[in-house]
Amino acid sequence: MKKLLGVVGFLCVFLLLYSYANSALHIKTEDGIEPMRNYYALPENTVDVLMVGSSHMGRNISPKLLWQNEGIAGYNLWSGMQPIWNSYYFVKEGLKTQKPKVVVIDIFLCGVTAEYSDSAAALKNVQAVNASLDQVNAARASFRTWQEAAEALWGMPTYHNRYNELTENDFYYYTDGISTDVQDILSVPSNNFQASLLDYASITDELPLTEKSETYLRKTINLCKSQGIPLLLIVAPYQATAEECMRLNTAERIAREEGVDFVNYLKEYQAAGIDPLSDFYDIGHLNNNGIPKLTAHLGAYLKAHYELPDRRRDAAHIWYNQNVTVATQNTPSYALERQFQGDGITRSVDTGIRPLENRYGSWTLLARLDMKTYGDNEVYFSCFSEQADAGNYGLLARKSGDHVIDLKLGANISTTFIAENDTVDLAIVKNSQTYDLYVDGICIFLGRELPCNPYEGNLLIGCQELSPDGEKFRYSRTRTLNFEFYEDQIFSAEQIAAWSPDELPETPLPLGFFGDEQQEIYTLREQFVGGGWEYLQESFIDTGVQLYDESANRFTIIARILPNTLGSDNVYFSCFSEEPDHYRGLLVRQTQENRIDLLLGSNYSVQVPCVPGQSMLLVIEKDVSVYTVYADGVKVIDGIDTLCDPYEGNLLIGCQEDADGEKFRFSQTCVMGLQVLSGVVEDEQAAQLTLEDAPMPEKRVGSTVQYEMSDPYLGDTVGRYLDTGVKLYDVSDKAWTLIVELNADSINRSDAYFSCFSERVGQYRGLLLRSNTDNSFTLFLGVETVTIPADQERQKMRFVIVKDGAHYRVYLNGKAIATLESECAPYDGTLLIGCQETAEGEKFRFSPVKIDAFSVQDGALEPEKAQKESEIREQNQRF
Amino acid sequence: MLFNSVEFLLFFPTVVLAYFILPKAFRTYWLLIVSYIFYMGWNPQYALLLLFSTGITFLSGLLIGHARKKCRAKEEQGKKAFPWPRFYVVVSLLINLSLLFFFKYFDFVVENINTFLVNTGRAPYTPAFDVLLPVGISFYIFQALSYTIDVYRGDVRVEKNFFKYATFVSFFPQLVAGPIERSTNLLSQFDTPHVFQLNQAVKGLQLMAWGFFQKIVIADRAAIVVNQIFNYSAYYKGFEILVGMLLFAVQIYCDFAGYSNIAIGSAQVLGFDLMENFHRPYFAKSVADFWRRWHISLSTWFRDYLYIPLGGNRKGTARKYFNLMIVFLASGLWHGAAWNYVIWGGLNGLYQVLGGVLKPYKQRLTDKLHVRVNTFSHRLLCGIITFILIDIAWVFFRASSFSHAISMFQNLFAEFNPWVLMDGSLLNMGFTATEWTVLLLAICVLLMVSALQESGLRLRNALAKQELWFQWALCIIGVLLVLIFGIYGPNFDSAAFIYFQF
Repeated sequence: MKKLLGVVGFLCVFLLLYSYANSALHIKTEDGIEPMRNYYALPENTVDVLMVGSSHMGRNISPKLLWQNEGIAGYNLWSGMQPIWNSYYFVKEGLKTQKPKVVVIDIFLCGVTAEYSDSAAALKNVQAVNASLDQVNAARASFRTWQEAAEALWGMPTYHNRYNELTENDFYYYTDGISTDVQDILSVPSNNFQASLLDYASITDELPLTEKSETYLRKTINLCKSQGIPLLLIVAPYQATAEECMRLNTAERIAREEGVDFVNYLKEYQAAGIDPLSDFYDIGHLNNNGIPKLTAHLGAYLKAHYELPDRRRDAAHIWYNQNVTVATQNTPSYALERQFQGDGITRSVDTGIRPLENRYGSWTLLARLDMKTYGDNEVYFSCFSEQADAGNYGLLARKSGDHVIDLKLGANISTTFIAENDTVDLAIVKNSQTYDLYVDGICIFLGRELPCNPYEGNLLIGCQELSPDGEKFRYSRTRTLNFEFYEDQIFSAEQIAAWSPDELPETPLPLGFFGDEQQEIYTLREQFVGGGWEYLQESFIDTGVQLYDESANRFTIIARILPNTLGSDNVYFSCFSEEPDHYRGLLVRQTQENRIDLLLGSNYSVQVPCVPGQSMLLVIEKDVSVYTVYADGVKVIDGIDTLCDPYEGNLLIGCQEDADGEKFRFSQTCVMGLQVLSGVVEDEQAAQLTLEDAPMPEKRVGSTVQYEMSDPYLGDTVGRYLDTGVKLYDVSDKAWTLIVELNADSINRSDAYFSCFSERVGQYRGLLLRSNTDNSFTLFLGVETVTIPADQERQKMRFVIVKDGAHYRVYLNGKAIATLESECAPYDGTLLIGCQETAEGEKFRFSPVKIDAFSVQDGALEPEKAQKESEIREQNQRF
Repeated sequence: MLFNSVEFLLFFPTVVLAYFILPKAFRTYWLLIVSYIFYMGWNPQYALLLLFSTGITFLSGLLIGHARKKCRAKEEQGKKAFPWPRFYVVVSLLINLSLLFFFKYFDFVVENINTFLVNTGRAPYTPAFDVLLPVGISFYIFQALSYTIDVYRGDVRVEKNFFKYATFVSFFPQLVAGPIERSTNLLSQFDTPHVFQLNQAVKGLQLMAWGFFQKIVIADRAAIVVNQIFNYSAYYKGFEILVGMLLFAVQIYCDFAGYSNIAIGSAQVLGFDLMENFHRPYFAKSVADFWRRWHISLSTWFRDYLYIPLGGNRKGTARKYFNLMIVFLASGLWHGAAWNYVIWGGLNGLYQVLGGVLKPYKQRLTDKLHVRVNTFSHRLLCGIITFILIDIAWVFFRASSFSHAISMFQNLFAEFNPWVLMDGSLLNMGFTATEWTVLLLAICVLLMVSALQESGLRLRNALAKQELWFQWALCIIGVLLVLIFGIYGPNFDSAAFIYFQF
């Protein structure tokens, strides 16, 4: 008996100390664990709306905003990557301590077919729940093997190694760290991700849910029904695939059949005012623009459909009186980023600010202007009504003579002053309807009443506009060195005197302007032979010359091209924007055997007849907006006027660039010579311009492939790599066999194992093995990719990669995992281990990878041998 | 299943509980069943191999016993009898060693033949099948063979109960990694019924905890650095290599001794007494002494069943050295089917042969210099020299090939760079400062405990005499330390918990 008591006593002390160590080591995350911990601490009857789901719930719907705007007492019991089976147990757990009036679940993961989430996510979802039979069941649903489930339930095996990272917070997490305040969404990234959402409303087909998802969806519905609590299922907006949308359609049908409310924001995001281009920070999460919109919409829906009291007025509620504070900013509302240099043709800056929208508004405008402009009556900046019926009023700064500025304020009241230096600092302070004016820090007048009507137009630099959103005019050649605008701020004389802004970078003048004539801008060094992979040449040439960075550019192109019979859409050269509905620039291509097509300026199309096999000398002159074209000395286009907006792309030979800057339409055209000159020349001279053919490019010779790594390779992140010196793609149709054995013990990052890969945008090609942050691998072969899914168990990976011309075979650990055809252009880079190379030849992505064996040799290994070769050979080291 | 797995954590208490609840008559059967379950945790099919080996040795035992009676009867009649017992023991040896050869050495032999064929310009031979090494085969085959030989020698009586014998061969605590028990010690223990004794169980659990500490806190932690340095040795020089070598000595000892301690401890909880397998080998004063302390069950096996039958030291000095070399080369090969193990074994044999040859000169030198051999300092020096010799041999054991081992030594002497111990280089081995602290403290604990044991203290008995609070505190803290600082479980990187990842 005494012994038994001893054993029991020992176990009690042990468990006490163990549970303390356990609570310190327990994983603590702001999703899953923390929401659940705080939830358990809430007093009874606190939560009226229980929200459950993945990050799509937790990061998109703000309980704080629901509380502030609607008085809804909502709680987000969420965890990242929470599938429906975990949501089920979260709801079950949630209903143990609170009696919500409605349960809301985001079910976006019903749209995917994974039977299990990755272990880390599953772990959070299981360990957030208090120990109970439900937790055991949650673990069984979340893990493949009972061993994993047991480890998750026990906990210690999964997080004991956190001893490395314990902080003070870990020791008080379950005592002092608990918060029962209204939840807020913290640390929302400030970036903006342009989500490309499909037209989900038009997708009405269905795909079945996985059996597991459907089972748990129905269990969840039945659970809420049995408790008599209404259930609302939602899908927050995200970049879903069509298949995911179809599965969610099935979920929606099931919900409707069961009489459960369903709001699918994939189809109704417009109704919530969500803008895919500005409201996301990644493919599934809203930024600070989007969160308030979605929360407001859901809040309104909840108010309308369920009986939810306004708890803000409930003095007994724990959140009574909890409110918000708004921070103020003290930076300019607008500041010019580069000096403004007008060209008198199209250049201007729209600040987007409307200083006169409110007649009683207050602001300060600070500007540094260059007095050396080219003509009179030129505009520095304006926010000025020129409407015939309403009269002229507003703000307008113009040059009205040498070193003379005319400033109009209020109801067309003019103030003229002479600047002493070549630059002048101008400060205008508006305080309700009175103005202060300072020139070079000296006060010209103070508190002058200059009332005028409100004006909706924007503040513009370098031009004026006829009416708000109307046509701009009076593009000027003024130069503004600095420009800052402070909304709602009134600067004092001291502040204005102290204003000494940094010098902004200059904006160069347009090409060929002001006497800059006939300078050689670019000359093709060797002939371009498109598709000629036998030549030592890239599949296109980027000249690096921007022909349209300014609308007003003036240039001459002399080019000798060789028309062929190879079909349509063959590009000779292009500097052309493919922005939809805004095509512009210069494009020379062949669409038919006997016809060269030119697109000029604002997509103005002209055709020039040609004879295949017979070269043609083209001279294209652009004089601001006027184009003249000569073919073999004959003027074929005479002064077509087609002005277009600027375009940042380069002049490319043999391809085009799409709206995202990716190269495409690589063409098998031949350009024998090409020269770009600044400015234009007289007619007769232009007709006589000639150009010598450039020399032919060098021919390619394939090198031998033979390399064997002598010792295992261990990379670092600083700069270590191995250059094998072997060129795998110096000719396209090489045959080789690469054998590599990796030690992938920690691949939770984006690492490059080995590469012989061109990073040229639009021309990605070659061989590359990369690991991804989700533990999977991506193998790039030629122009195709193979994804090798994550496998927790895997540590040693033995690849055999065989290339035979354009045919690839890949074997991994004794299995054939891919065969594919992938033809690609040559690439001259060498095979690197532990890093990659940029298009410019700089090494990057130095990776701390472990490669135990690596060899590559000429010739394609036969399938059977290759498969056998890829087997992991364990050394018989066990006793 | 492995000792350091969640399966074993559930398996072991269940086994123990049921063992003491079941009627005594069923307990051996229970142990047999759970031992096979334990073994089938790796590869169920290979349980047949275990069964086959057990069957052959059991049968040979019966036949030897039977034949011996007949022979004796004939001899009493003055007739010359065919030596059937010898025949049966040879057959049993041949069958069992063939199994071992096929499953363990077949690939090695093919590889060597192929090297020869390729070097002489002929096509290599490709076997039509792959051999997967069954876990623990070297252990249980040796254990089973020891029974056959003991029966033949008459050291142990013939076991007639197959189930009891099968339990002896497959007894789960020592099945896959020793100690390699003798029938003389273990077999008879299945006859005596075991009663649960709390102090025995507590001592067993304490030994298991200590074994886990050695295995998962020290060995598996040291392995991280050792693997990094040995696998990627081209990137390490001088003191970094030295650190790797020292830590490997720690790792291999803690790994092996830890596993043995868990085995001995878990057997003790069940009331069984297994032999000591490691007797603080790094405190050895000579290489011969080291081998009296290292993997004792194997060393004595080779001594009793190979060295002595070869003639031991009874046939002259040259023959003794020859026998020593044979034993150590065989021991090397037993440890692994690769040349570096053979070299490792050969090196250890060579040390002892040289030790023997040089002994008179050493004696003369110590006499001349008036070295006081009974001082601590002299013993320390001998210990250090022994450790260095052993550690040099370990490099061959751990390296992936002979040339790899040589390059390790080249890198060791390539640079004198003691600053790597201070300048943070050691933190670039997948090992944080905290990990280093834990490892070094754990090794200090190991050293202290070993030194106390070496001084003759029986720690567990000494602990039992202390105040209860102290006993409890030590046990609880020990177990918690193992749970927290052990290397086990799925080991998530904290970055894996970031929810932003889809």
